[in-house]
Amino acid sequence: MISFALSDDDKGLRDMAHDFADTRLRPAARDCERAGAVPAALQNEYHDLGLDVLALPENAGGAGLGNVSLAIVQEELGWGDAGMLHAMPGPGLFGYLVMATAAAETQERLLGRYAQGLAHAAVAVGEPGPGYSGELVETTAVPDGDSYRLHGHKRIVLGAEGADQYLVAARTPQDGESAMSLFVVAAGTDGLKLGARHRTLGLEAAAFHSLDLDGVLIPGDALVAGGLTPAQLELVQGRADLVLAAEALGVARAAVEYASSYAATRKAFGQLIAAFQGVSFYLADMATQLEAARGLLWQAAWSLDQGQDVSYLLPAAVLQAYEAALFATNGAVQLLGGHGYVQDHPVEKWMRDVRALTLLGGHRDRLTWAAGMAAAGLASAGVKS
Amino acid sequence: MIEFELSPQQRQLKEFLHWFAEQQVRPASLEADKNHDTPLPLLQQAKAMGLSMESVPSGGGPGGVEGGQGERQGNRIGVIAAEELAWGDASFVLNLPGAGLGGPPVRFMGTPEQKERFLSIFNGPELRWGAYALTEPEAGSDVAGIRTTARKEGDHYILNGTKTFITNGAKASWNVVFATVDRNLGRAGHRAFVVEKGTPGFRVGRIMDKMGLRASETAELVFDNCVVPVENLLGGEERYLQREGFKVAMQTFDSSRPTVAAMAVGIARAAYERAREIARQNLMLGRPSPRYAAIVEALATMARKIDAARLLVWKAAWMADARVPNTKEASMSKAYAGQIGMEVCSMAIDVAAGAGLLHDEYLEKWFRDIKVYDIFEGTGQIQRLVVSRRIFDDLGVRI
Ligand SMILES: Cc1cc2nc3c(=O)[nH]c(=O)nc-3n(C[C@H](O)[C@H](O)[C@H](O)COP(=O)(O)OP(=O)(O)OC[C@H]3O[C@@H](n4cnc5c(N)ncnc54)[C@H](O)[C@@H]3O)c2cc1C
Repeated sequence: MISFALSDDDKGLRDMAHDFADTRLRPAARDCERAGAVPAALQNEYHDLGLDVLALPENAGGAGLGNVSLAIVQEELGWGDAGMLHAMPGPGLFGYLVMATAAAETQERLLGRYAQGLAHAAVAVGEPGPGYSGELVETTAVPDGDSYRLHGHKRIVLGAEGADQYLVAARTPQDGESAMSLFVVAAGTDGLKLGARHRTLGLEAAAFHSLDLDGVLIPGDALVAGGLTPAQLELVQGRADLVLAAEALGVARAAVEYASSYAATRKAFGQLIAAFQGVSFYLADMATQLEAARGLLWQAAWSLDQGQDVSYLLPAAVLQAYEAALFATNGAVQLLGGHGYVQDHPVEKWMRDVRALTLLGGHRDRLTWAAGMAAAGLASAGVKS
Repeated sequence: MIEFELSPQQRQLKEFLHWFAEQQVRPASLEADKNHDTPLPLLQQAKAMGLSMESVPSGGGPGGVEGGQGERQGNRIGVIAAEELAWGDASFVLNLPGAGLGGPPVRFMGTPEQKERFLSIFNGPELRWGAYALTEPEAGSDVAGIRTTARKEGDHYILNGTKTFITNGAKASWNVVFATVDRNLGRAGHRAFVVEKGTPGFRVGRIMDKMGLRASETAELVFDNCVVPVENLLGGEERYLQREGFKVAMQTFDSSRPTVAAMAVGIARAAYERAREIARQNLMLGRPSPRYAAIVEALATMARKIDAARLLVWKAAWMADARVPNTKEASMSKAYAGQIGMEVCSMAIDVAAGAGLLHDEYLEKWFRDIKVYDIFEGTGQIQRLVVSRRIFDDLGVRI
C-alpha cells in the first residue's frame, strides 16, 4: 500500500540526526568553512552517535540501515551542513563503492575499522581533462608478479588528507580502453603523494587535494573490482548518489525555510515581500519541487531496498533532486537580494554547497544517459551506449 | 512505514483499468474528439462496470472505496484510477456518468433528504450526470466575486446570472449553482442551490468549442428569473448562518485537485510512452540521428518529471486518506502536474517530430488536452497562491 508514513525507527533516527544537525552542525558551519576543518570534538560526537557507520553492514560493525532510512537521515544532516558532513570520519563515499563491489569478507576487512574508532577513507576516481566522469581514467595498474604498480594523477580527491585508505580507479591491461578497475590503496604506501589542497566552490569544511600515484606497489588482493565500464561504475556509485541527493535536498530545504522566514519579515514598497507574487510563487515552486523530488528519491530508495531494478529510477531520482536543490538554493539567494549574496546569511553558502555536492558522485550527463537509456529500454534493445 | 507497493486491490484495479483504457477508451478517443462526445455504448459499458465520476475523479469522497484492514484508501484508489483512464482519454473520464464535481458539495453540505433525492437518481441504469457551476464570465479564479444573485420570494429563490465553462452543465440532470444573496456580505452571502434540468428560467446559453478535451461538454448556463424551491438550497437555511457553506465548497478541492493532477499525469505518461516508442523504432532501425543524445535526455527528463508528479499526487491522496490536512500538498500536486504535463506533451512532439503533427498519432490531441490541466480546478497561479499562503500561515503571516 502506498504510504509516506515514517516508521517509529525512522522517526527516531530522523529526530536524532535533526538534533545533531540543529545543535552541532548548523551553529558551527561558518566557522568550519573558514577553518577548512571540523574540530575533533565534533568528529568524536558524530562517531559516538554512530552516524559514520549507519549504512555499513552489521558484520562490519555498522547499523545496516536501509536506503529509505538512509535518505531520511542524510537529508537531516545535509540540512545541518553538507560541508561539515563530508569532513566527518567514516568510510563515506568509499564505503558505498566498496559495499557495491566487494565480497562480504572484503567488506568486513576494509570497513570494519570505521566502527571501532575515528578513521577516514577517500575515493580517487576522477582525473584531469574534460569529462572527469570516469570515462577517461588514464591511471594504469601494471601487473608486477602477484602485485600491481599504479601510475597516475588524481586531480580531485575529497578527504585525501588524513584518509587511511583510498579507492583508486586505474586501468589494467585486461580492462582495455573502455573499462577500469578499482583498487584499495593504504595510506602511507610508497609513491603515494598528496598534492596541494584545492580551494573549492563549496563544501569548504571538507578538504579536496590532488593525489599522485608514482609507481605505487600494491598487492594483488587490493583489486576490489575489475572490468568496470563507465556505465557499470555508475551503478556501483548508485547508493553514493542517493545519499548525495538526499543531502542536497536537506540543504535546499534549509534554504527554503530560511527564505520563507526572511520574506515573512522583510519589507519593500511598504509591504512584506511575501505579499509580492514574484516572491511567494517562487517560494511555492521551490517547496513544490523539493517535495516532488523527495517523493521520487524515497521511491528509488525503497525500490533499491526491495531489490528491484533501479537502473532508470535511481539516476532519475538523483537528477530530480539535484535539479530541485539547485533551483531552490539559487532561489533563496534571489529572494534575499543583495543580502543573500553576502555572508551575513547562510543562503549563499548553501547555493555553493549544493552546486559542489552534485559533482561528487555520478555526473549529470551520465545520470541522464543512464536514466534515458533505461527508461526507453534502449540498452536492453541492443542500442549501443 | 514508507512504501510504494500498490495493495493487491489497487494493483488489480490499475491493471484492469489499464486494459480497458487500452482496448476501449483510447481507440475511441479520436472519433470522440471529432464528434464532441464519447460514444454512448462505451459510457454504458463503463456504467455497467461500475465506473462513475463518483468512484473515480472524486474517489476521496466519503463514498470512496474503503480498503482492506479498515484503512481508508479511497483517495489513493481514485488517483490510480484517474491516471489510468486519462491515459486512455481524459474526456472520457469527465464524461463518466454520475454526480461528477457536483457530488462532493451535495454529500458534504446536503441534508439527508437532499442527498437521497439528488444522489439516488444515479443508481438506475440510465446515464445521468450532475455538474458544478461556480465560474462566471466575470468571476473565475476570484470565486468570491460571483455575481449570480439569489433573491428569496416565499418558498422559492429567484436566481439571475450566467455561469460559464461548466463541464457537463447542459446534459446534467442538475447543477450545483453558487449564487449570492448579498454581494456586500462576500463569501458569507454565498448559497449553493441544486438547479434541476427543466427548472423555469434556466437554460443553456451555448456549448463552447475548445482547443482540447473536445469530447467533454463545456456549457454556458443562463439563469433568467430562475425559480428554485427552497428545498433545493443545499444544507437548508440554518447551515449558512454558521458561515460554513463556502468553506465546505472549497474543501472539496483537497481531494479533487490530486485527482485532476493524476489525470494530467496520465495524459503526460501517454505522450511520453508514445514518443518513446517512436524514438525506439528510429534508433533500433539504426537511423542515424544527430539528435540521439538529445532524445535520450528528453526521454529521461520526461520520465522523471512524470514520476515526480505522481509522487506528489500519491502523497496528497495518502494524506487525504489519513485525514491529515492536505490543502498545500493537493495544490502542489496540481501545480506541478499541470506544469510538467504541458512540458512533457510538448517535448513528446519534439521527439516524434513530424508524427507529432498528425491527428491519428494522438500526440497532438494530448498536447491540446493537457493545457487545461494548468487552468481548471484552479489555475497554476492559484495553486501557487494556495501553497505560498500555507507556507506563510505556518510562519504566522497572512498574505
Ligand atoms: C474545459 C474547462 C472546464 C471547466 N469546468 C468547470 C466546471 O465544471 N465548473 C466550474 O465552475 N468552472 C469550470 N471551469 C472554469 C475554470 O475553473 C476557470 O476557467 C478557472 O478557474 C480560471 O478562471 P478564469 O478563466 O476566469 O480566469 P481568470 O480568473 O480571469 O484568470 C486569468 C489569469 O489571471 C490569473 N490570476 C487570477 N487571479 C490571480 C491571482 N490572485 N494571482 C495571480 N494570478 C491570478 C490566472 O491564473 C490566469 O492566468 C472550467 C474551465 C475550462 C476551461
